Amino acid sequence: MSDQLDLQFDRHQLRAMQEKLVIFIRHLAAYGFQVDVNLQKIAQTLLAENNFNDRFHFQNALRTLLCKNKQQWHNFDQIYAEFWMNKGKVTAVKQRSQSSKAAAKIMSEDDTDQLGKHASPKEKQETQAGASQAMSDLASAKELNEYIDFGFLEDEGMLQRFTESCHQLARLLAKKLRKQVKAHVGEQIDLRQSIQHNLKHSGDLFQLVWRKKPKILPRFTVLVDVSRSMSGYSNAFLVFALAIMRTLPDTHVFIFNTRLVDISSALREHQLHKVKTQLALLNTTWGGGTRIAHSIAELQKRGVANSRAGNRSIHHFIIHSDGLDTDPAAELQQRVKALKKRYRSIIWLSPLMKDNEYQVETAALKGALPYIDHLLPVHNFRCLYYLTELMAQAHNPTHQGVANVG
Amino acid sequence: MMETSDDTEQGLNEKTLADGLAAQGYLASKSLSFSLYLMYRLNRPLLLEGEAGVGKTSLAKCLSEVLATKLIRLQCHEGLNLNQSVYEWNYQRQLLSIKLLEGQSVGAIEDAIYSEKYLLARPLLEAIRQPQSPILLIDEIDRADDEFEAFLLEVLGEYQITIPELGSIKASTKPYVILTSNASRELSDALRRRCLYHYIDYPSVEDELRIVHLQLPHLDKALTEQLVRFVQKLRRMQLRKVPGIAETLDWAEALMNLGFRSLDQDLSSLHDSLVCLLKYQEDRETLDSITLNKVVSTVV
Repeated sequence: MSDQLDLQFDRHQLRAMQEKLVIFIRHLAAYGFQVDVNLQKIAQTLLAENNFNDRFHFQNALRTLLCKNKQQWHNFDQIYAEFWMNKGKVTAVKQRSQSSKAAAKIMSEDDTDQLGKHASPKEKQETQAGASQAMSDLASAKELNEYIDFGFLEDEGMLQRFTESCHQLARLLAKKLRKQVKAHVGEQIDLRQSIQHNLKHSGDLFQLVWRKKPKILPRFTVLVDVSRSMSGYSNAFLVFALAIMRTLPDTHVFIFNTRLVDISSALREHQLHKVKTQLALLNTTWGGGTRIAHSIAELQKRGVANSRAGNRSIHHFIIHSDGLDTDPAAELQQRVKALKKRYRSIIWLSPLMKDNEYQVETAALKGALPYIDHLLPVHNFRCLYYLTELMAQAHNPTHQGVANVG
Repeated sequence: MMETSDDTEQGLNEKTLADGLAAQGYLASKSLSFSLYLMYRLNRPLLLEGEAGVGKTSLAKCLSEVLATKLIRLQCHEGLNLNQSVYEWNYQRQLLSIKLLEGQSVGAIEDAIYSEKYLLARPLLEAIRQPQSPILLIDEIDRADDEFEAFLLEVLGEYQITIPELGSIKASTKPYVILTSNASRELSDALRRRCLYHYIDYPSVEDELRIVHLQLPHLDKALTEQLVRFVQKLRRMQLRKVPGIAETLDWAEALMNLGFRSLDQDLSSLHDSLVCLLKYQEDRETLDSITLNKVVSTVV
């Protein structure tokens, strides 16, 4: 329709939109709208046949189609905004909070089922146990609705709440990492400090001072696919990456489609304009496909992977991509295999996994699967929460043998 | 959105529609041009509601120019019947023919007088017989009776009209139907359900300024701003009939011809010129000289 609308919904986005439209039409009935089957059909056809990435067009189409009098016309924008932007979600969250813990658990289980399709039973168990309590700590996440698809984060207010929620998530991660360090056994006595501290006791060591252990934080190298097929999700993930970098300053973030760009320093210095420029530069190459294998090779060539080869035990690799690689299939397998040698774990985040029936079909990703430790969905805030849990667990000193460090 | 190959060939979208309407002197909002585009693409009737004088009828006229198609208008009123809206037999001519055909069999006479030749097509029939989709403007549908509304439902549903003597006539190309209503009567849900809907509100100050500029480009800019703000203030007053855009334009033209440069130039003449804006005596009494002076002082 217009130049800004050249992005097409992918199958999964469309399906999510269609489902949400059905709910919206039911929601309208509560406000006295009479929407018959024929109109519903037209609304769905419009959605399916057209590209409604522009919210204005979608809203206008529904208003013209579904409103039948002046009152409805004047109320529609408010109802639409409530449902698609804020309040509708708040209401949904409230309903959930009023329901029993059992209901919350069921929801948690449902979600975990989806999340943990490729996760181990232990991880599932751990996630279920802590999920409800920890999620309740995230006030912004409650307002945001953790189940909203990133594809719908188009309103400025929503984006702001999402950003706040990501920062809360980062703080939660920091808290968890701190706890792990404190709980660690086998600390050493700081003799010098202990003597100084006990001078009042004539040098008798009544009160021991323990040497503070340096915090060994996990390191992450993150590759974010910003190709066209990921357009609805990469921005949201970058917001999350920015928040995580505050807690884990040694995180490296790269964006790629056919080329690889390091945006770590720009993110670290909060120079978002730089990130935007780099994104814009990359976007000029849209249409050239996504070269995942090539980008990983480029990463290895630059030495980012090699530079910390000695720290394999704390170094993790996250790739945020749908896996639609235009490089030869065998190449990705080879590259991920090489990565596996240098990183403790490989986490692959794919927004396509929001579809319960999703099966890895691309030859490239299929080939790389044996070397991927976690293949997870990343389409809503809940997924990011689960990822944070995983990142916190990734640094479990009791299991990683870092007790003697420091 | 919704662009078929035909649309693409014509380059028709909500923006080109808005541009086309602007070229015809009609400034359509983004939302209105989108509703029109939806009507065009879905080929569903569009029900336009809004206060009198906001530009519902003129929209249909301008749209027909933009789409380069015929405008067929059916003005509704109380007592509107099929003869006035669909078709009528030319009785005088039929009587004449019967006289001329005397001596022939009854069947032959009937065949002769109930033919297309004696049929007077009224707007609805004319619209569905057009080779190219016309704009069918069913103006002020709220003035028509319920019975006519029920009949209209059938026509809008099937785009087919049955003439007992001739059979059914089905539209070869569906007309683009625009219904307007001033909401003087509540329309049936059935009719509303079959239509897309758009409510045209009074324009904002900025939009109204653009409209006056577009229609009267020679009008002094400062005066335009003053009169538009004046009209906007009137719309907030408790009047029996607040002025629409049409009244603003009439008044602007009147002031231009009276040689006004500013509204406070001659309050007496200004008060007299309010005939263009206020159509009820009680409204004129509400806006007496003192009130007028006050309102003018706030906009000058």
